[in-house]
Amino acid sequence: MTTVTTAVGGVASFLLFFRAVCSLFIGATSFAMSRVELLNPEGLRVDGRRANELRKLSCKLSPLQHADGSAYIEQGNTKVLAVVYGPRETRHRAQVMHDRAYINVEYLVAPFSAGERKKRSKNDKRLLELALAVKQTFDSVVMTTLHPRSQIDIYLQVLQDDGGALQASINAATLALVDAGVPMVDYVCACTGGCVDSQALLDLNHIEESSAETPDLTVAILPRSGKVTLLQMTSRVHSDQFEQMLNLAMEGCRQVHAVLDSSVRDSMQQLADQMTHR
Amino acid sequence: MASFGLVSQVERDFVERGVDVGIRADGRARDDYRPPRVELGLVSQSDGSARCQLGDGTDVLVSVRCELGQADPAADDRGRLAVSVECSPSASQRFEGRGADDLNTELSEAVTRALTGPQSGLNLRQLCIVPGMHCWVLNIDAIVLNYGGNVVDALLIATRAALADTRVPRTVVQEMEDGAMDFEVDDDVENAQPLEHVHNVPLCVTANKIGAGYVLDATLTEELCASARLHVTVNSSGQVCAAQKSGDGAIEPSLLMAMLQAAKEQARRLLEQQDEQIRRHETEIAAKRARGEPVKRPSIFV
Amino acid sequence: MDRRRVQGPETSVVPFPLLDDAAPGVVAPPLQAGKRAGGRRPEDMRPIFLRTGLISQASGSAYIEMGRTKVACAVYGPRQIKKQQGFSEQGRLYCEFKFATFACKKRRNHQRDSQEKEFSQVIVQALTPSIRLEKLPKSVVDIYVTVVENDGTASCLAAAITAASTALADAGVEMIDLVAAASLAYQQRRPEGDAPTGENTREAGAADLVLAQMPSLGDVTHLLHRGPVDWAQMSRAVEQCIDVCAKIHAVMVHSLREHSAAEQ
Repeated sequence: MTTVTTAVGGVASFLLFFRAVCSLFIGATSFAMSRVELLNPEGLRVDGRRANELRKLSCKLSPLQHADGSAYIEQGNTKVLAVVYGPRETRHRAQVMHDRAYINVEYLVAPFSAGERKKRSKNDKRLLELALAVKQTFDSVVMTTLHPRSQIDIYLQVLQDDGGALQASINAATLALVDAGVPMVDYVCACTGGCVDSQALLDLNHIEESSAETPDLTVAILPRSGKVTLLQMTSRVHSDQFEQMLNLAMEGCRQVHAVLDSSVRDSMQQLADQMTHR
Repeated sequence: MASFGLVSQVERDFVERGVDVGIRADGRARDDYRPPRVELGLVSQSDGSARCQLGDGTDVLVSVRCELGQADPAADDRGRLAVSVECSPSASQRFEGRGADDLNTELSEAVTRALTGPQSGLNLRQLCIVPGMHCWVLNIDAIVLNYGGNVVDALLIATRAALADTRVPRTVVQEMEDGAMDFEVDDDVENAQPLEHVHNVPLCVTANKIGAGYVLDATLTEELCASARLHVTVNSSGQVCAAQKSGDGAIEPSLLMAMLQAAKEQARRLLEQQDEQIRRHETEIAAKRARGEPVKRPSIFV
Repeated sequence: MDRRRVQGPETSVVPFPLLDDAAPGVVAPPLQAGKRAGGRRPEDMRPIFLRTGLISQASGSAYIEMGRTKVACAVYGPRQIKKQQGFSEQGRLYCEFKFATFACKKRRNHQRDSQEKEFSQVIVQALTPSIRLEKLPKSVVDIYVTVVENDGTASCLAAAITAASTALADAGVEMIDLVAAASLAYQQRRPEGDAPTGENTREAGAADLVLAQMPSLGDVTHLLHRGPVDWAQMSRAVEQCIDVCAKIHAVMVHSLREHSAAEQ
């Protein structure tokens, strides 16, 4: 129960935030307002995971029939839908590239995706930056030279964001591209890593991600060659810990790869079954 | 409505002649409605949500969220609704960037016209917390995931279902010694209240004028061939809550009345179907509660 | 927040009691022995003043007054479409509908809000069927509507459509018919023609209807209805609006004739 006095300005928005945070705690009944204990002495995190554990990852290929390729990913409570069209004719003449395909990424966040409702403009700089990160990741992986003068559209829709929306988006985009049959060098698997009290954490949720003292790192790798295609971190961390974080995150990426790969195989098997039964 | 996609003269002719003799490409008659597939309670962080699919095309997701807001001085003992509709580019390339802005405005206004004001049938006084100071604002956010024709109808079907699924957090108001009003929000979802009079919320049926006749629940191709559209919003007591023509054509008065009449009849059937479905959903939830299982469905697509 | 213009004060008071036939704050009941405020019968409309050619810079213009509803409309074009908007085989209609900041009880912003944007779309949809757009490839006709005084939002929209169609005729744009629009408020389970604000908002269950029609051809070009109303009542209201449109059409024709006679 929270108490609000109408005489104090700005209380209402605080209350909203409080409601939002509360709703994100699943199973946690009470917590200290000042500082959330991200890792308890038993080595368990706020959602009951161990430091090196991923959230439950489930995915579905082609949830939308009309698109060339689509995929839906749930990583814990983070839910992302990726839709791929193409390769098709470029929309603007300026985007035509004579030697390869143009990859166009649009990153959209549902107004109800986060704890607090927020409607974002399509020109929001942070969304454009995330879209650019995804585009750059896939520029090097998709065999764009096979489709000159064309365009591949990747539309990402974040339906729920409980931390790690970027990694989920990249994983979903990979699956959607596979579903669309766009030739790629390899899967792109992304994962986040963090660090609390010099202990590296894998796959941060919203509470861990938004806590000021946790550095968070997003890394995307090509699992077969182990090459890193995306590395993003915006906080300060000691280089010893960084290496620990990076190694853990890359290990996470390999686990993600196993899940993505098995879901692709399952869906292809289903497709093959359907065709033989006909 | 901003039309998108192209339709050839031959295809247009085919559809128009079909409507003349009462046959449509998918085998339906002119007044036949595709049965909407509705799922409730999909978005776990929202207070209410629903997804509606019509045929194998149209797909919309609606979330309802209660947010604390300042009371409107003109109606200080009532809460209010705010609608926003967004067409995702996954539905069509035209919706990329700012391409969907006009359509978003038009769809939001169509839903707003049906739901704000007395025609919504909801008891907005239920949403008032401290009269003249605080109230709940129901934020209705819709995403159009796929555009396969007849989106306005699908939006209202999903919104009505989402409102039926909505639970408003309980508040306790008490007066302080200095006369200031004080309220507490109960964070326990178990105590949240359903909206009152949800069965009064209207549904919309769109009639499309094609050639000299009309069809209900048009597919995308049929919408592209339509010269004018009539959105008719009807509630369960048979009252017309909103009606709006859109599109660039004109309609003869006799056809206009026929379209209104047909839409009204169809809306009555849809309302009955949906009320039945909501009742079924609620008994299901009650049964799950009794067994102690999680109530919200964990996933949207999987 | 609009920083380019001088903003009005956040709170304001009515400077002096409005000199009206009714004392301020006292609203006469809408129906008294079958009569409304101003002595009108339920189906009567307010007298219309309609004149064309008031804005000399525009290709065509019209100004309409219905009681205290005052709307000005200017038409520019047809002119060449901008290159960025691409080629179009048919002409396009562009409309900007704006309430003057001082037009309503509550001050309006300079930027168009969603209602004004929607009304712009409604005007385009209502007028498009009457215009021979196929005769105007690669061109656009701009319609600018300004509401100077709002006495009932529905009646403003109807007046705007009527004025815009008259202005298009004044501009010499090829049309197959004029478009006349009528508004109506449902009151006490009985439709009343052409409702001013006071009557619109008095009841919580207020409902209104705007209908645009090409009176000579008989086709309805727009219909906008709001509020819960029984089916029988609505169908009666639609018929009533169609009757009113014919009367408004006569006024439009008269003012266009008068203007062209004055020019000669």
